Amino acid sequence: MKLETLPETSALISECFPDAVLETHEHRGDETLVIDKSKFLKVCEFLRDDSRCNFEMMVDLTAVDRLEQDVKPRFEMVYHFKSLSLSKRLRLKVHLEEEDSNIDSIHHLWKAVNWYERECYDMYGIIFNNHPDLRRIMMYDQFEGHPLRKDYPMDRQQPISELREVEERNEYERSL
Amino acid sequence: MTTNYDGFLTTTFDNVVNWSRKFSLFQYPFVTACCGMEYMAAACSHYDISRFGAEIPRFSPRQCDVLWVVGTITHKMAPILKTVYEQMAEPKWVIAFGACASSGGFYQNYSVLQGIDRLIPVDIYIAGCPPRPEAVLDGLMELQERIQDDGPKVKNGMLNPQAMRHQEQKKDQLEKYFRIPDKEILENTQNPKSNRSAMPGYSNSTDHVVVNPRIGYNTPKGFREEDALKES
Repeated sequence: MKLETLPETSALISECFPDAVLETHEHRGDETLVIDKSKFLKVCEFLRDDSRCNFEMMVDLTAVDRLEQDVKPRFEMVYHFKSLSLSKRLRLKVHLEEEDSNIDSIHHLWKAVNWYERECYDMYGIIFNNHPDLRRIMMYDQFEGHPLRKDYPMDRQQPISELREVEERNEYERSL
Repeated sequence: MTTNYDGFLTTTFDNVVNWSRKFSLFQYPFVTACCGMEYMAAACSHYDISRFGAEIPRFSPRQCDVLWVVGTITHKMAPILKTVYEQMAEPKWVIAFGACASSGGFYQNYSVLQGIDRLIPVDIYIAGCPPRPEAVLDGLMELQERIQDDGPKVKNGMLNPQAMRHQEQKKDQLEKYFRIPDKEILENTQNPKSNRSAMPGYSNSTDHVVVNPRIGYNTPKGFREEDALKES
């Protein structure tokens, strides 16, 4: 990877954390970095605090389940950051193994991340270490499994109230 | 109803009661999704739902006659809807407004109830995603017709749905409130000083919350075929 050919932020991160950056990508000014999991926290701190980055805002956080793409490792975390002062955007990706699907929470850096991480935990079952309140946020407590994982059966529903079986939706009308 | 001579008419008591009921429908809009906008359009002055005596939305289920379920009902929402329905006083009617309330609509996934009739009895289904106000008014008029026909009447050898439901509920209520306990007298744990024993069938436990693994969107017919296969 030649630093001269890289866009601004990618070059900076690659320079400061030579082992951390696994891959970079750039499309019309939006940069993407794939970061090693062990260096993730340090890179995030750098992104927020360094005056050349100044990413004050955590825009979005989600996971991708790549089970059906047959790509290892299975999960990919995607973080979006925005720098208001320098008008820049950055996308960070971190790969997670299926057996070891946990990652450090960045709650202490961006407070906004709290509910995003809860959502990600609820939908994909990814554990965020040191998160202050890692509970389900959308599904009810009785719900088993994580619905947006690709191995969750598409037709599996888990009702909490007892449901009636509906034989004919409108027997009366049919009889007329 | 028949008019005998000027100024008088003779009718049955049921007829008069039902006639007055159908023109004073107090409604409870249970609005959860985008159908709500269409409900508001239908309820406002342009389409003027008050022509049908149904203009007053009540925001307590205890004061209303018609429950409009407007929008998608998720499994998480289902117990709340059930509670609201049970809080309404008899006689009561339910309208499933739009595709989602009627059948789950295009949501066939982990979270959405596949039609509210799985949960509570429904009188009128209004089709559409969302329905036009004309369809809403049509459904309301249909409901009025049903209410006029309410009572222990037999049509084509069948009781009408309201009558059937009321009969069933009356039976349930008799069973629930007036049944003399056979042998066991339950201890009244909620109020130990009372000399009345606790009602059977009443408890604060959450045992009634049962996860039914058989409800996917297989039809009951499908289940029965599966069961038959297993037995053979």
